[in-house]
Amino acid sequence: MVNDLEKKLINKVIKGSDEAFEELVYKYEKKIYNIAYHILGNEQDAYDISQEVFLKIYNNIHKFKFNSSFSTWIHRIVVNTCIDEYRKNNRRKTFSLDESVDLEDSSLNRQLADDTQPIDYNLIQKETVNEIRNAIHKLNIDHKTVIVLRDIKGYSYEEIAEIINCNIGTVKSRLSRARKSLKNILLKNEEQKSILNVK
Amino acid sequence: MKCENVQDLLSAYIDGMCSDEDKKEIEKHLEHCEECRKEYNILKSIIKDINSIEDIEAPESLHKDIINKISKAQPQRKKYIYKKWLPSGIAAGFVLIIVLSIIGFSTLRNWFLINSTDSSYEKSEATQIDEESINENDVNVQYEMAETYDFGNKSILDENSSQVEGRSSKDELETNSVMMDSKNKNTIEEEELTCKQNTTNSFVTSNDSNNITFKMYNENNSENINYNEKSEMHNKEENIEEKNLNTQSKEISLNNKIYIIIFLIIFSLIDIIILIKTKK
Repeated sequence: MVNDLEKKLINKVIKGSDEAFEELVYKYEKKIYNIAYHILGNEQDAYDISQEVFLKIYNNIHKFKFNSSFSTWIHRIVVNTCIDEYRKNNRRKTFSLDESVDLEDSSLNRQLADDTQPIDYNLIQKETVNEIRNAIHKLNIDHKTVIVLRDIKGYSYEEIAEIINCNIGTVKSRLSRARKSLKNILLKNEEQKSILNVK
Repeated sequence: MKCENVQDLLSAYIDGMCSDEDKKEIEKHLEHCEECRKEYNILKSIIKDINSIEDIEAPESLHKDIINKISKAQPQRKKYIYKKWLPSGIAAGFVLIIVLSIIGFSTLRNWFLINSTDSSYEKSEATQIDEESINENDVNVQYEMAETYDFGNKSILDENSSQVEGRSSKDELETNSVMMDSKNKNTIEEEELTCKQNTTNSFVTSNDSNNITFKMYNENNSENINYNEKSEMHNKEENIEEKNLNTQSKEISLNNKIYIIIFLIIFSLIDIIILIKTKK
């Protein structure tokens, strides 16, 4: 499960080598930062969560059992930390769900303002990506997680099952529902956009 | 297959995660169901769009900040390591204590055994002599005298002679004691020498001046034989007592074993309690 090089590195970290740990940071920092960014939807949260995740890895690496993949173990920490952070933020913003419609409008208004500018065709792809990102951000945390892991990061169903600690059947059904929700959000957005364009 | 079922399976179908049976059914269904085909195309394009989302570059300061955070967290990590090794350290410490206590116990036991054998031997000897002095006759008095002669003192000799007077009612012994009083130092010394040999033969062949003992042994010849028998008996009894001592020492070692086991149990209980507490 864990290759020899990584095993040596992990053992060094367990023994207290900070140099070995820095190597692990180099190897995983971008992956961790991006997963956090895709799940949480903003760079600042991703930045803070990345630090928190590495701290957790540093403090708990001695608990890692070599019978599973180290990458999977790290991803599990990232996903769980992101889910915790998301729930914490949601609790703080109790009214955010009710205000989501207003937020949508404001983003639409901004898009409208963008439309007034001369059309830059290079931005079309970026626009689509942003739309999808916004749509993903509107999904619930469980759906968001599977979409990020499968469709953005490209992990297999088996890997996802290990990361989120469930069976492949659950991954299948959760991913199916997540994609359906995403489709509905995007279609809704399209409808609203077309209505605004007609106006 | 119903449209609803097909649409549920479309996601897995796109990822190639359907069973062959389902795959065939879906393909057949999509051929003639426009709605499901539409759904399939939308889903496929959305997934394609999501796939096009690329990773972003992490800010350069992130690496530095992570390392800083880790270096600040080092004491905490050391605490983890300390927590990890503390129970095993305590366990090792207790094992050491147990080993040391066993060694200590064995030495204590040996010391105790030596002391107990000495004291019990002394006790047994004393009681033996008491019994003999009560039950036996003048020969034993003489035997005691012979022992006391070892001190080589005139006054003691006087005392001994008075003891002889006290213990034997015979007139002859009385005259002997008078004779002993009149003896000079040299004869006493010679007597001492012969008495030290501690055998009846040496008594018999001793200096002529040592008339007391000679006469006594001649007169009490039969008693001499008795004495020999009794000395043999004495030896036998000593052997028996040695055996008794051996059994006693076995009992003592058994007791010590029980003590050691109790000690071990107590120490292991303390160890377990500490381990549980540290784990908490």
